[in-house]
Amino acid sequence: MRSQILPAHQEWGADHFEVHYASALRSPTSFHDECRITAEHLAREANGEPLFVMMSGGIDGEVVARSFLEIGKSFTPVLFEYRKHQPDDLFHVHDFSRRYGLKLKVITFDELQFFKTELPKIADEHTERAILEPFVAFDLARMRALDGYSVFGAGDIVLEVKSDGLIVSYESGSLFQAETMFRGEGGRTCYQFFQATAELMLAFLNEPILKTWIDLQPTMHFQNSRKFKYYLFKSIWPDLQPRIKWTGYERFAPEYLAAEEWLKRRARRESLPEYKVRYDIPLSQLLRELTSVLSTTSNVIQT
Amino acid sequence: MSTFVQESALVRALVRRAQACIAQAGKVSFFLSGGSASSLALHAFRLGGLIDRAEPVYIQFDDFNWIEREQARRECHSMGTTLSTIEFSERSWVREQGDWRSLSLTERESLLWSAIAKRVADKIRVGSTFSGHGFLEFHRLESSADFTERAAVRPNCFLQPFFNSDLNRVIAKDSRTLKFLELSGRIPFDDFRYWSDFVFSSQIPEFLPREARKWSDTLRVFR
Repeated sequence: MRSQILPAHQEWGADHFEVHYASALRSPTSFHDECRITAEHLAREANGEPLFVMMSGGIDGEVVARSFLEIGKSFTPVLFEYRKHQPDDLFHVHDFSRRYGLKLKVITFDELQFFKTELPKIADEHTERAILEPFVAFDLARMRALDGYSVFGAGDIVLEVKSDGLIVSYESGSLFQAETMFRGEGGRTCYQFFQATAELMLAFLNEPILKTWIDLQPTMHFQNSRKFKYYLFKSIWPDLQPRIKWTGYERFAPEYLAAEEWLKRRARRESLPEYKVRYDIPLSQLLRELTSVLSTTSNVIQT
Repeated sequence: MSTFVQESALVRALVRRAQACIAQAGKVSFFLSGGSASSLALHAFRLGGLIDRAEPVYIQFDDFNWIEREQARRECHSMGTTLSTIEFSERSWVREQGDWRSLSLTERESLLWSAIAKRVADKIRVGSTFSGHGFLEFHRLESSADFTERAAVRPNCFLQPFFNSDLNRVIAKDSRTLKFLELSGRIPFDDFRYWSDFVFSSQIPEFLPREARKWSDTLRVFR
């Protein structure tokens, strides 16, 4: 199966930030198959190093773990346990590991101490682009804590309805930042599993459930496609339990927000270039880029 | 035009139900869990102009979910009412129950919710206590007439379901509910409770859809 890893690249300048994708090299198969193919690619990319799958208690990390399980590739699930954790999140990770006989690596993480000592250090180390959101430093710390190849379940595609059409929204352009910084340090990671290959992204958009969302959204007034992702996941993995999951930082929101404010003040004071916090790509543009070298008869979504 | 009538029917049915709850007891307490069903009950009291007659109560378990509590708080705040919080230690309660392996899940549920309702009754003396249960659920069913009511599977002697048969019938006939049933033959929608938020938010603009179905409090206790 031909496909290429990490198709996204970023362009930024003084006044713009853009994300572009390389094209798929073949027509995608099903989303389920592409998850497994992506896992195989990443396992090869790990090149014999220990493979870690980050699990926060959310559904996306669990899908990543299931993909590695299904191809029979051994890996270590990793849970970062904050001082102020969400019990439900912990339950889901422990329950999943228990059910599948996986030895869970739990790393206790004192987030309050991190805000005081580590966050300023990381901010000082990376001044090429200001870190504006504490989670970027969190994720960098999580990547650094693992001696091997780490895979995160970020990058899921959420379609949103805007006045000028459907867009794919990155809730934060900073999603790219931790990965870029870590790779710059020579680290090895796949942060956005769901955007690891163009074929996986196309396969997701090509699923009948997502097409149904697109068909229905003008009359049903959907806001975003997130719940249809749950329907899709449930159709593939019936025992997977969708659950409410925000960022995981809610339990220490006051400290998190204070750190965020500190980072913003620092960036302004030192006039550091910034990542764009929110970035939208029109769905039509994304599809053009992902299919640019495929034949016109390819089985890809039409909008 | 027919869509408009159906949408109005849901709001009218919610208001009727809220009025009936108040008429029964003068003032009621009801459990606001942070999930969609109890949130809809809160909106029903608001839509009926009865928000000051209904006291929303959040049962805070040891392992409570911060997001759910926050959701409940924000909704109350937006409607100008206050959320009462009553702590209930499920860990202590489970220890007190001793060996209950011989009990079925339904029996355990009944014991648990009776205990919770008693705790509420001890603290808030406002007549009847309702909760968001009773909400209909579809399990790959063929038609809107073919639904079950959760009330039947969560019996207890204190709580009354906000969602009764009349209200559920109106929800079942809503055009968006019918769309769900139509699609469920082609797409493996396994549970109406993911979809129901679309039904509510389309007709009650203030209703905030959840990211996903709320984790069951009962399952949280018994896990």
